[in-house]
Amino acid sequence: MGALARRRRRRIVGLLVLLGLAALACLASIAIGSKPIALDAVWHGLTAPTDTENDIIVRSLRIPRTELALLAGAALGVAGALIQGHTRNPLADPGLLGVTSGAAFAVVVGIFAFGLTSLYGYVWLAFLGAVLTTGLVFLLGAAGRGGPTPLTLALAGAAVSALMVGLISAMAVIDQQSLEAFRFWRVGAVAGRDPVIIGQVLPFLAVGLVLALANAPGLNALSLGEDVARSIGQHVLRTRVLGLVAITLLTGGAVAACGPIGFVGLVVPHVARYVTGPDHRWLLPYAGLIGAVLLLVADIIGRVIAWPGELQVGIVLALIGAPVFVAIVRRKRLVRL
Amino acid sequence: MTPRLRAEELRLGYGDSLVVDGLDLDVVGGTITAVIGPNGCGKSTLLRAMGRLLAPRGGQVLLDGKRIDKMPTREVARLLGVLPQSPQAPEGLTVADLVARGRHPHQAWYRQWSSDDHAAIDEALAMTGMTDLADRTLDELSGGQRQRAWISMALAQGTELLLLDEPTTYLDLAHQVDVLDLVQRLHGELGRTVVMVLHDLNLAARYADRLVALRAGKMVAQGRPHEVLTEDLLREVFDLEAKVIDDPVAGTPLVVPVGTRHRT
Amino acid sequence: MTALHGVRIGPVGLRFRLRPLVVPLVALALTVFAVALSIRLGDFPMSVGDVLRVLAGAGDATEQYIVFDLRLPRTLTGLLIGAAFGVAGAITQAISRNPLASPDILGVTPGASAGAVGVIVLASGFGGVASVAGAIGLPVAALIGGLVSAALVYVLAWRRGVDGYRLVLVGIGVQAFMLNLTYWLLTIGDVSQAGQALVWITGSLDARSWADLVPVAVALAVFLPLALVGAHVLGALQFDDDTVRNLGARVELSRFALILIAVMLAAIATAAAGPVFFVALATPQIAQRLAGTARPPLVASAVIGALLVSVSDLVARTAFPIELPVGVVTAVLGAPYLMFLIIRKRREVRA
Repeated sequence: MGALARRRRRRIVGLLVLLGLAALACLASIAIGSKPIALDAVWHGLTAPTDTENDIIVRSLRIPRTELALLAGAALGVAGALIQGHTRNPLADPGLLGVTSGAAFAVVVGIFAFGLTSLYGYVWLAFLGAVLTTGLVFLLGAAGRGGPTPLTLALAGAAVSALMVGLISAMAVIDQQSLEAFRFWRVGAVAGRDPVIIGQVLPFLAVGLVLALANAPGLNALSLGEDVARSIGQHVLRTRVLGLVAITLLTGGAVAACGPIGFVGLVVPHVARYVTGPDHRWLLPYAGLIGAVLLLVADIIGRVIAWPGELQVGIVLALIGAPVFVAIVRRKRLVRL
Repeated sequence: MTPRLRAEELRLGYGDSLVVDGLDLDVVGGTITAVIGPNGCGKSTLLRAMGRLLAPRGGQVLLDGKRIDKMPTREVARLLGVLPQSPQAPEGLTVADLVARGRHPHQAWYRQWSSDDHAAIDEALAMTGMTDLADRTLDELSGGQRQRAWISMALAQGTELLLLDEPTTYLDLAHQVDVLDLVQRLHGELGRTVVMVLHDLNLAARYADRLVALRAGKMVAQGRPHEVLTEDLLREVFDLEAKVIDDPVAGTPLVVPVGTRHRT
Repeated sequence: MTALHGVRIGPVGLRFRLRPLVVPLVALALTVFAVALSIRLGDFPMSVGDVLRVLAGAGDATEQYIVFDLRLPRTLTGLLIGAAFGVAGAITQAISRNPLASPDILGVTPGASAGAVGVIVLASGFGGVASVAGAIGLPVAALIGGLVSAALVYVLAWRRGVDGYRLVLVGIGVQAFMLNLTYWLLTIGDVSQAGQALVWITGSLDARSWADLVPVAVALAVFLPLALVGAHVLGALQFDDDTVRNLGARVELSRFALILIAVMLAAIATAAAGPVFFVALATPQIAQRLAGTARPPLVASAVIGALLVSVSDLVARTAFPIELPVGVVTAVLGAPYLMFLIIRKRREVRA
């Protein structure tokens, strides 16, 4: 099977290239900003920091921000590939099961009812909202005979999300303070986050990533249909629950830390699938790396185009990423789910 | 002989409707059994339940004497493979990828690939004549080739029992014979036990050791083709007026429908 | 499985499915009831007799004003945009064969939102832009935004024909662009503008007049019959393209015509009331489940859309101390109901 071995080698090389790109993007992300820092100074700050101004910027601003972009991008890319694999729906994004709207709802309730103002407080609230909402969606989607199917999960997710968004709008319309906080949280950003936040969400993201990779073989089996999956020995419900937990941890962690960055989870899996085909054991790592690089590059672009100000990463992603994505869709024939 | 697979008092249904009501069936090892019956009589439902794809409302399915619903999914998957009717594969999947997924029950998270897997996949591809097409994606194949690819996956699974739901759907006659010849070889050369749902009575009679005739979820007859395919039974099960003669090639029963045009 | 009901009158036997007929009729009756209530209720409640009197031309100037200038146009606008969104959603879901699709995916509503929010935010300040933005006005800006964005989706998805899957993917891209543009615009205005913009993108029927109603009425009168004529083509389009070609439907033309109908209905309805949240997505799914059909039924979707918006506006207007945008209530009422249907009607698809 020469062709199989060749394809395997090509995929490994691809992963290495992506890793290299990620490393380059990290360096650029540390160097570029409202105060540009020369590469030797970046190196100095990374390896032997002595509290120069540059070192402080590097260590307390640029590095946390870079880490956050990498983590959130990888988490959202992987979560997107998982949700599209489970639902076999190209329109599915990691927020489909209510994670994003649940997080947003919890944050707005916090502001509206308890006058919460700190980003620090948002993190736990957002994460809690994400987990509770996904749990609700799963219960609804699994209710009745036959257990959870992709269709009932997706519809239950859409319905619950709609309910949350409706309630958010109601609170924002009634209370100006909620609107004021919400409209800035909503666009999604990795800048200005407390480094503590990274430590808070990191365990969830790490567990989520491990569970996601463990879900890959099962997802491969499920992509042949539930009957075939069961026939080749895959426990369908267990696979779905595992996937759902992974999606919730990854998306919940990313949204809690950065706000709802929508574009990555929706679009990156399509691009990754074009490279790897339908094998989730390759698709998931590719989606993670592409997501990380994309988010990081978008964040860098956001610092450059509005220099010395900044444009939030969520906006840059969509405004630049969407046209690029459409161009890819037009040029290549993307692999269907 | 003790049966490998056994259905006892099986009651099956979807939603509010009961499709199969109180059915007993024994599948003896090393045989080919064909399930026949009119559309909607519960053939596929029965097959799905025998392959534990559908939980029974009542009764039980026994695999080597053990209740199949109490066995771990993976253990069942090493003994029994099911191929549903017209299965769907994601776009871009190659034949080799598909066949490799048949090895799923033999893999674990710590051991994704072994030389056994390689050998089983090569063998399965060779047996079905798909070796040269291994790098093609499924969407590039003809209907007959695609069906052989799926059978190849079930073969790579390495189970002694194979349940096939209408393996000849949408195929022309030549390819139907092609697929059934393959099934015959799985049985003859590898000693597999096969249960399949078939529409074509003459092909069923020719390739199966035993026929099982269903109507409205009840078993009407079972036995060797000559015992089952009689003119009376065709009337009772299919509401079909037909002559049954000997197949000039195989000597098995051959059903010749009368139809209104030639009714006298 | 919907039961077949047989009617036999002498030698004439007729078999038809009852539910697809009963559901729209019941929904229609409920809608009429909601409309009647909506005209009666408000800060100035009127009895049925009062309303009938005023409708007949009697009543004093205040009553005339309340019924003819406030409640009637608002109620009817809600009714008609509900129907328009319902039909647009049903067409979109049928063509894309995707229950998560709505006119959002055709670019209409996100484009309209970006256009409208742009006008709201840019109308004050930003020098020269302001006068242009102010002169255009909200409905026109929304209409232009919606149509341009929809045209963009269709043109960008075109490569020797439009493939359903590519249309969906391009739609995702354009939608992401327009949505995030909208979110960004929301952050650059001041908070009162953001509030005004939020009400608009949630969907609101506040102070809608005959001028808002007329375009929607005309659009429905023109496009609904066309959509019904195309309904059997829509059935064919549910198959993959090869099958459709075999069936002899002129694929590209039929699909283009139906997408155009969905776009026009959604765009004009959005221009009148904003992209009333959730109606186009949920209504076809609710209608399909209630009617027990295999794909979203057009007429039932129209009627249930009208019902959902009418009831929601009644609630939004009268149930709380302050008036809420109707889009909040459509989601809060529609979402639980859809969930209830999903749980209750877990029909096995296989058979």
